[in-house]
Amino acid sequence: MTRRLLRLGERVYGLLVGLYPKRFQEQFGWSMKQNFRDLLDDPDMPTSRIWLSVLRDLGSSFVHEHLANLTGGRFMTRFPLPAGALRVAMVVVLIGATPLATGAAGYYLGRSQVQPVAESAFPPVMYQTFYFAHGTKWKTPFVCPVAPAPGVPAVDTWVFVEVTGTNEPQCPSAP
Amino acid sequence: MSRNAQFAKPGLALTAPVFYVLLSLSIKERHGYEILKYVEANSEGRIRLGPGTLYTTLKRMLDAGLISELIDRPEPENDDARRRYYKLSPRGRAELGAELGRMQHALKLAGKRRARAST
Repeated sequence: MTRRLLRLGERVYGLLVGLYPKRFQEQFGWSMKQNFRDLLDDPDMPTSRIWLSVLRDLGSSFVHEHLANLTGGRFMTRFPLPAGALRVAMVVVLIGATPLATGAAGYYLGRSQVQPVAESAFPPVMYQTFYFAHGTKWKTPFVCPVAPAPGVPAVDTWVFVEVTGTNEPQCPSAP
Repeated sequence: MSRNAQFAKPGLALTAPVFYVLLSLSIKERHGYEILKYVEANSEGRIRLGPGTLYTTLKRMLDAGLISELIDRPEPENDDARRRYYKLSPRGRAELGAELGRMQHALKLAGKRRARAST
């Protein structure tokens, strides 16, 4: 195994050791890493077997130590937890965590990669949504200044105006 | 029940890792990796402790007073000063003795049964 791979392996294992409770790490963290280095240096020990044993090891000792830490040691019995129960617990956690992780990843990707749709060039007014056919012409409600009576100042009022093609509706010109 | 109280009743079976760790330390003081190699070799590969299991087991045994950490280093000139060595405590020796006695009793019982079955 090359020196670089050894260093990488040690670094990864260092991260895994970081998953144990803090007090445990303070007491045994260095020894565990040294132990792992010794295993990697051992010519009789295939690297694949080391990693397999480390992962299997994590599944049991990590859970044990955290439970012991939470319960002040009351959990620690003379007998180890049944391996089957631990495996089932890990599968349940994985099944539960997968949709959460997928959702989080999807949310992140959605936020980071999808660009917002360009805003319409038209102002957001009613005529974009309320077209209707009036006789043979398309008309839409539109706010226009309309004088209620001759000589009275114009007031903004909803009126129906004709729409042609994609042109913006125009208020009817005053008579 | 505290950790200490769990080991206070002699006659209860020890777990295989605890038994082999006690056995390895009954011969001489060892550091973690030496214990790991001893356990694997002497259980004929049936028990393979990873560093995590080894040190959680050692922690339990330290808390229970079955083993203790060595203050004087056996080979200070040839070794990393940060390595920790462990030795068997009198209580650990008693637990190991009780376990071996229990095993001998079980073997004797099984031998008698076998003899009775063959007659």
